[in-house]
Amino acid sequence: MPTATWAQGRMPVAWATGALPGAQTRRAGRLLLAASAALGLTLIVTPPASAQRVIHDVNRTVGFAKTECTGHNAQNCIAVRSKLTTIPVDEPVLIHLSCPQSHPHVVGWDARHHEHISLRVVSVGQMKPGSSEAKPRTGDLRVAARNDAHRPGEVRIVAGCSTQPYQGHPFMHSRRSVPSKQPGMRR
Amino acid sequence: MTTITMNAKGAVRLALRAAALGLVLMLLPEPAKADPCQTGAYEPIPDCVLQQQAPVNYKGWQTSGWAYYCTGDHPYFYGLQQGYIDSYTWDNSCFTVTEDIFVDGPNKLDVTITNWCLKEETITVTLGCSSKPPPGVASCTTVGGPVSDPGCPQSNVKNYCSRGPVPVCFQTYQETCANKTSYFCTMTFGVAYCLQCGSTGSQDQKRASGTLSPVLQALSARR
Repeated sequence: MPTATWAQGRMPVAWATGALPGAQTRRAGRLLLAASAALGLTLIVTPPASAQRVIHDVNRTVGFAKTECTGHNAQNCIAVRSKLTTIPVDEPVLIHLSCPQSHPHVVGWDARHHEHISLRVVSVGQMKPGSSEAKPRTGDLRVAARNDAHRPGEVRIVAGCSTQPYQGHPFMHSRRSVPSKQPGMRR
Repeated sequence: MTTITMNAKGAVRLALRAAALGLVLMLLPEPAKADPCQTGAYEPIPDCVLQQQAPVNYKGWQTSGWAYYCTGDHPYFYGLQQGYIDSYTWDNSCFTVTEDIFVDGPNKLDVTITNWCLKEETITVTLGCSSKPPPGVASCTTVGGPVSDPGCPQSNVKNYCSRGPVPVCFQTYQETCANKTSYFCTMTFGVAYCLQCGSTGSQDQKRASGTLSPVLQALSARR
């Protein structure tokens, strides 16, 4: 008699026929139940891609909000812009910005992006108080951009670069837009 | 007998309207709350001062995640991790502000903020900040308010770093002076201050470590 395996996408024959000893069967049953519950939960929690893709106005752009130097002395802080970056469908892009030597510390950032583009800071240089080894790396900012819809979108990031190190001012770590095509949302 | 008929399109439209109404009711902007240092039903935050943060601009319908820090000689934030739900406030009813308990830190409030108004708006968040560390951080029972660092020999140096992409850290240590007076000190962003120990010794230390919150235990373990 041929034996089906998990690799073939079928349940082992021993399970199907109840050939396992009692304790093992019960354990296997519990595992199967847990796996089914996890799968069910995933299906409930994760909406299908088609459902996510009708809620965004892919032509709407969310503009700069001037947050790159929040809390910092404007005279010590300059804006460093990334190039306009296209974010393809289903393909996250990592955008990297570096501050110039004259203003070596990242203290914030801002962005202009299409409504269906989500942004999240991946890393900023280490900012440990009193640590000299961290100083050379405080000028790096990496932001991940993700496309939440069916059309490519664009984003431009602006890093706030200061002569003064970061001092605990408010820091934005993610940014996106409320989907404006959700039911009930009217402009 | 009255018969109500509805085609599938109509039913879907009705369901969408009901869902939209529910969403709007759920997400109605909350009014700004009262003094974060007076947290209502809870014990007040010890030695609490208000720290108003820099104002932040938002475009219409923009959502952002922000980290806000307590600094200076009141660097400790008492948020949901410590059981305080009203320890911050904001000044604009266009916004909803949701605290993320899992990314909060001993000195950090982590929030998701949404501007539900259509035009650009500005929000200013104010935190209730304390000089007294939450349970489990101090190596002794502290008394009195913050004093400047006496500069005595240090021991028991510990670093705490907040979670998330921006690792903001602070350092704590104990100082014991020649006259046997001990201090528990905190340094954040180069600013150090100390609290005098009312009683010192291993017993206090054991008690402190015994009450360490799970989050602080995890932070300590990562050092």
